[in-house]
Amino acid sequence: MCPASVAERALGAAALVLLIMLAGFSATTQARGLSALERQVEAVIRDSWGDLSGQEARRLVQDDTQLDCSRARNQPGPALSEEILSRERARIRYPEGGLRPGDPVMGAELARSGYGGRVGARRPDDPGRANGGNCQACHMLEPRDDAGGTLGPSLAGYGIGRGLDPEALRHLYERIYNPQSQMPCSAMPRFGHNGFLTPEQILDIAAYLLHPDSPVNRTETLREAPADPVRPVAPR
Amino acid sequence: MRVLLLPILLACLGAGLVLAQPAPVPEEGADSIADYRRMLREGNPGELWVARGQQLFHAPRGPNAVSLEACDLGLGAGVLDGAYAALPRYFEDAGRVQDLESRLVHCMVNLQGFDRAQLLQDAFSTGERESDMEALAVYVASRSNGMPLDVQLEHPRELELYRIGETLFHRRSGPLDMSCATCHSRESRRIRLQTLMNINSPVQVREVMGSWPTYRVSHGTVRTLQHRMWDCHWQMRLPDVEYVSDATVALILYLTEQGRGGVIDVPSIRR
Repeated sequence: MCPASVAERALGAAALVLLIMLAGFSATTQARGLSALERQVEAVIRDSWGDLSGQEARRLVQDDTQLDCSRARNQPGPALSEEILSRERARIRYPEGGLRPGDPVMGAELARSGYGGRVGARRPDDPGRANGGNCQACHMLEPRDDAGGTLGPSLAGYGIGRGLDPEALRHLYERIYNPQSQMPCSAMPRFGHNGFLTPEQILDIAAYLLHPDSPVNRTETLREAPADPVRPVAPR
Repeated sequence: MRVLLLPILLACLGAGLVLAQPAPVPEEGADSIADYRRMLREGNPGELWVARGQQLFHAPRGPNAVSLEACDLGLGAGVLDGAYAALPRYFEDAGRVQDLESRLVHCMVNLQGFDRAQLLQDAFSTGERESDMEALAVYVASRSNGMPLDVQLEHPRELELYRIGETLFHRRSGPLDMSCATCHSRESRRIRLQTLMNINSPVQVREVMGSWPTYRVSHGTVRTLQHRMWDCHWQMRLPDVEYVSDATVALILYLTEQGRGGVIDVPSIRR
């Protein structure tokens, strides 16, 4: 009696494992092999956001890279890093008119504007108005920036030594369009890939950061900047 | 040639130095904000919300015209002192883990007969309408002033929700690829000029979790932890997370446990 029930349970467990494996293989990448805890989390999310339009509901669904980086707590190992780099590189799209520097004045405005993209019934942004890039939330933008955040590195002087060189422009366009094509699990949003900024807006911001006459690259203010503390220049 | 080269070299050196500078630690700003808080403590407008919450709590209200004095916040009906310090917790009568605000909603619906959907909709003050919930929450929390945060984490559902909260904290999603951890897992970082709590610094988490609900100067009202949860999700460009939903309670439970031992001192005052 007892051995039989153990055998039965073992059989049941094997069937369950098989079922889970099948579910894992047949499901979309997003749902692949979620742990029991992750399934509980998804259930709580479904329960906690109530009725949403399809467009809003999609914001809560993780794509492959969001899931991978959440699991890795943004510290992907070498194999996962390679995987993310290659698939995010493949996701980059370029502007129809080719990679040409945009309008640096417009770019300055976009880099400061935190408007756009907020949804919900309580305090939505006007979807008719363009999203800002909100770069300043996380980066100090100019040598005399007294309002920039520090989640990302300072961008003061970013264009010095780069200028509007086509390779520098391509590198920066790709960095803003999809930072994870260069730094897997970067904290920076995939602005182009997620459709938050248009390719043209990204070119405007790139022009603002790279243009030799941009306030970002004003050398006279850079020279006045305090020289302390002296630290080795990080490889870039 | 040499004449030209020197300024260029200097410029490059200058750029290098600027680029290599560590992120400035906003010590000066933090100190002046601490001073500001100290100065305002005695004249904190949030005290008006505490007083209003006290009136609301003890007055007969709602369709049933009863007070909240029969509300069990975890230590027995009508026991307010120390109740907030052990929230969120599992409540048998509700069959779920509830934080301060979900428990207040529970009592306002079941004892006073208020409409749940209406309570949820009116939970946050707006320009036109003052919230009762903000006043009630800060009053009840203030009755734990001086006590350490001490969630129980004994019931299986409490443990489960704690792990769910931790996972949610690190779950990236939305058009900005953000999770709570994007902003709140590194030391001395700012969004614009706003200093960010670091989840890995117990000292900071204790200070933060012990000081909500808080009077927010820029909002002109007391804001609660539920509002903080909504606000962060809104800023992450996610849809409105529902007031007192399990996701918010899970995050609050996770954060409160990380802040275990933090001394409750409300209402505090913030930007």
